[in-house]
Amino acid sequence: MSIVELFVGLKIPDTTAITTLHTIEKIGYKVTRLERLIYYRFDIEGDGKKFAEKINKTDILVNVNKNTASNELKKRFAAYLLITDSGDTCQSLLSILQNRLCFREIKSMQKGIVWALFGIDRQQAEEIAKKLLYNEHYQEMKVI
Amino acid sequence: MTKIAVIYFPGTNCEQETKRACEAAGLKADVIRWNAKELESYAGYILPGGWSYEDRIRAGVIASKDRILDAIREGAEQGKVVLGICNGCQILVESGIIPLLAEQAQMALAPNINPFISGYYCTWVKIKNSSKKETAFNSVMEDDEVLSIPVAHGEGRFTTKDTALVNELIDHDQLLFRYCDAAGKIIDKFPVNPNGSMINIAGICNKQGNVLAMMPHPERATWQRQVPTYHEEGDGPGPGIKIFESIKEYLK
Repeated sequence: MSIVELFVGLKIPDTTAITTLHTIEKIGYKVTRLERLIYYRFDIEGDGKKFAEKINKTDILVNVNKNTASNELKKRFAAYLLITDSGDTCQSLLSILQNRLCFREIKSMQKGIVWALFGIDRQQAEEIAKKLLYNEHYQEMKVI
Repeated sequence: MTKIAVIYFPGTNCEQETKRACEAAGLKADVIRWNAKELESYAGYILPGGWSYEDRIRAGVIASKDRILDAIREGAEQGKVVLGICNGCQILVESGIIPLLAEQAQMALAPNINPFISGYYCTWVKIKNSSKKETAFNSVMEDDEVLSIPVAHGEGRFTTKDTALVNELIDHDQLLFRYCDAAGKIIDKFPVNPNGSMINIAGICNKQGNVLAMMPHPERATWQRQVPTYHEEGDGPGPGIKIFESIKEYLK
């Protein structure tokens, strides 16, 4: 069993990130820049490299006209947070990938959002996460 | 006549039908913007349904940080009526106003759990007036009265990791509306519980009973002609109007 991660970003302006940046300012923090990536983690059987090549081109996850795709997080000087929904096994998406798109090698998967907060320290990033980016009653946050 | 402010945020889309429901119950209502400054003159506030700020980050959270929520919180503390419907419910929960007038969210409206459909789900359900206390929202209803009402949401599952809070809500009789079957039986199973909500919660009020956050849409059941049983029942006031009539009674 191997693990393949996929980080999907936007080439076009990310309106969610822009609204979020404004809201962060409204709640009293100064973040100089905010980026958002959709995160997928696949537990697969077989060759991870071959799977990564295929999954990176799967248009229900990555639209090449507007998305970027990478199998590793290229970190810069920022606080990186991963938010996931507790207990979410992505059943609907997993079923499409396994049955309609024939990715039978996927055994389980997870989806989340990666936020990159620039210009603040880790403690402030965690405070912002708690106040805005996740709801601890059904989500989990991890500093990555 | 006392007036209600129906507050819309960018992305709200039920403000006009909510205003009409208020008027049908004999209330006067104005639709006002989220950045309005003058709120003092209103006797109550309704946050209608829709997709405030396009549900960015998660439903209701961006609107919950808007300055107008401070005025709504203040109004709630003063005993003014505050009703959040669907997205308005999500905003009140994210702001912490429901259930405990706290500064941070004490609960969440998580994505639905539905055995057949992932994401947005729209249907008619039954809810029961399950609180024994008289609040601003159920005074014209019978105890245990069952109402037919529509739901339309993707994130409507009331949940909390704080089990003590659930007991507190039960002890203070704050679970005003719960999903039930046509006979009023609470069955924690789809389709009676349409979204997997914890103990079938459809609407929660505050301890004082002047603030309510509910996921179903009473404004979409204001007249019988909106209800699927219209042909059997004939036209006239629908079940949802009772919530607005109760507000009118409370404001008297």
